[in-house]
Amino acid sequence: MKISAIKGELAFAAFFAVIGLYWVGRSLEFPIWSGFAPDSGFLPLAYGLILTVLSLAVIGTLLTSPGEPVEREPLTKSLLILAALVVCVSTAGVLGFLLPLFGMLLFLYAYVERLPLMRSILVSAATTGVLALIFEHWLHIPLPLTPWEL
Amino acid sequence: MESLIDLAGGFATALTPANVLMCFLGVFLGQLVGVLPGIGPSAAIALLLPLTFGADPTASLIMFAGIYYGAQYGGTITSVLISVPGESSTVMTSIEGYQMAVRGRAGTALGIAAIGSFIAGTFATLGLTLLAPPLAQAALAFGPPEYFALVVLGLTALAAVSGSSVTKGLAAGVAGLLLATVGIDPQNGVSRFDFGQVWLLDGIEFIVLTVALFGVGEVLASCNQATARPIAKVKNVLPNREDWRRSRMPIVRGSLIGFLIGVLPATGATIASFVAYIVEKKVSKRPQEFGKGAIEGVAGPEASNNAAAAGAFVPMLALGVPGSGTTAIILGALIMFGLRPGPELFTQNSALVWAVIASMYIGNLLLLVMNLPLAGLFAQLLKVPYRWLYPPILALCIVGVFSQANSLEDCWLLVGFGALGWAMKRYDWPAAPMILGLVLGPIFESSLRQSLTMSHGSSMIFMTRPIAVTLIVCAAVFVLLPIIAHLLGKRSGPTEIGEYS
Repeated sequence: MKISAIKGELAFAAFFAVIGLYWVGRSLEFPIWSGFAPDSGFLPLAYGLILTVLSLAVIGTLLTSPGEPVEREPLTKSLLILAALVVCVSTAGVLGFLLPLFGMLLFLYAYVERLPLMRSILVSAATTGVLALIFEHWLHIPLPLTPWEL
Repeated sequence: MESLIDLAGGFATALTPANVLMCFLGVFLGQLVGVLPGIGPSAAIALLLPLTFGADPTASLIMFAGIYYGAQYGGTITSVLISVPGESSTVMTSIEGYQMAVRGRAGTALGIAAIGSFIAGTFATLGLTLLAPPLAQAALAFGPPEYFALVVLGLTALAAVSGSSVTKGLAAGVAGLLLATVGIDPQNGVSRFDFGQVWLLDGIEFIVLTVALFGVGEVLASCNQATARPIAKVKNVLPNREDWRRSRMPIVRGSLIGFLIGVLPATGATIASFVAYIVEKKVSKRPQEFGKGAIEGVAGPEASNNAAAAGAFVPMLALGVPGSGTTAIILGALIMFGLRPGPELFTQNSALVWAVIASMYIGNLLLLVMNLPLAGLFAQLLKVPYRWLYPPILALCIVGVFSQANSLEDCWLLVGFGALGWAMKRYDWPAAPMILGLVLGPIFESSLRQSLTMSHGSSMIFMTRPIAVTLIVCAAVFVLLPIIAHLLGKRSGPTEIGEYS
């Protein structure tokens, strides 16, 4: 099998290997052993090493016996949803939760899913309202709904 | 006898109106998430965690348990009516159940599944009642080395059977342990891996990671799912005399198989249903009917997956070792409520544990009552397309995660770990071991330190104490067994399970 067919899987396993290596590097800043027992750096060092070895083993397996090619779902829709989440969270710090949540829901229904606009607006508004009702009024959680409550 | 007295006390708590309501809510939601596409019991419990923050732990755990075993019932409906397993544990039902539906016997398939599930669920809860207390009692003698070995067993067992690859499962578990080192080291107050961020000093919250991996990650991975499919009609739910005669023994065998497999750490309902199906096919006088709508192929696996769901609570409640991915999340919820999972749960929080066990008897009865007349109604839920469902799920994830600490930074972690969960799902890395690693990380670290301090730095302490060494050997078996099976499978070609999966 060509490397291109498994490059996503390889990159993902490599990501874990890099995380493991980072943990190994940073753990050396802490004392490893003190008296009879491990100190703050011991387990992060061990975890980092084990994660790196296991991730490299996954990469090795992928390269030596890659198996049947798997048909993956297209990325576009998932990336659009992820982008909507990022925008929602970043604007919630400025605008409060009501508008960003409503905007995210409307974007997902009307743009990503191409559902009828009027129905999308109604469902988005109702969902936002119900969430605000549950968290703010029922559970008494100080949820900043508007910019003035931040 | 003592167990029965405790159980009576449990019923007194579980039968209060509020707890009965939570039990009903749990089994109803479980049934719902079992039917609805793209959301399973793990995700449902993850989404509800923020809502139960600060609520009564007993009521919340009764609801979570209800969601877990209720989802096994719900998953059957999709398997029978559209041949799409709502849960992985109902894959075998989708073979025989759907064939029965094609022949106009969808109602009978759902009916026998509900009755079998009720019998098996009740039998397994009885097993839980009788087995868990002595197991917990024996485990009370555990010291730090045994706890350390127990955590190793829990992690390796879950990692080994969670996905298609043992290596990926173990790596995910270690990644969870690694995340548990973020924040202040409780032993000496040193801050580790906080990236200079004050908000990371408390570490990464279990809720944030769980909601991200099982809520956001699932949505991102499932958003391309197809919309509704044609649904078979449901009528004549009660099985006739011949159906009942053919299903009796499969239900008994499925109950036993399911409970025994469920009790083993990390094996869970999916493996139980596979084994029950294979056993039924082997012992059947009409093996040629399998694959064409044999009722034994519905009764056995359905009994087995429900028995396994209840059986999985034995190691979770008695030892603090989860029997499945969903019980790993429930275990995290116990810690969130300030309880210490493990053998002490039965002594220090006896009322809670027995109320949860008693609620499982009630929940199974509620599910039977709901399923026989209402199976057709639940089937209508299959008409709801996933595109209407996932946006509110995402909104709930954001608000829920924010609400647990009023922290926008947690929302950023949600997005980041959500993307990670999506990639894990895409490339078949199991998420449950990562959650368990995060949950058990602190216990793992403290028990290792205490053990080595006790032994003056000698790691032989884990090899000289019989319980600890037994648990470590079991952990090694869990890691090595799938590898050996894989190697043997390579030599002998596809296995029987493989043919259907």
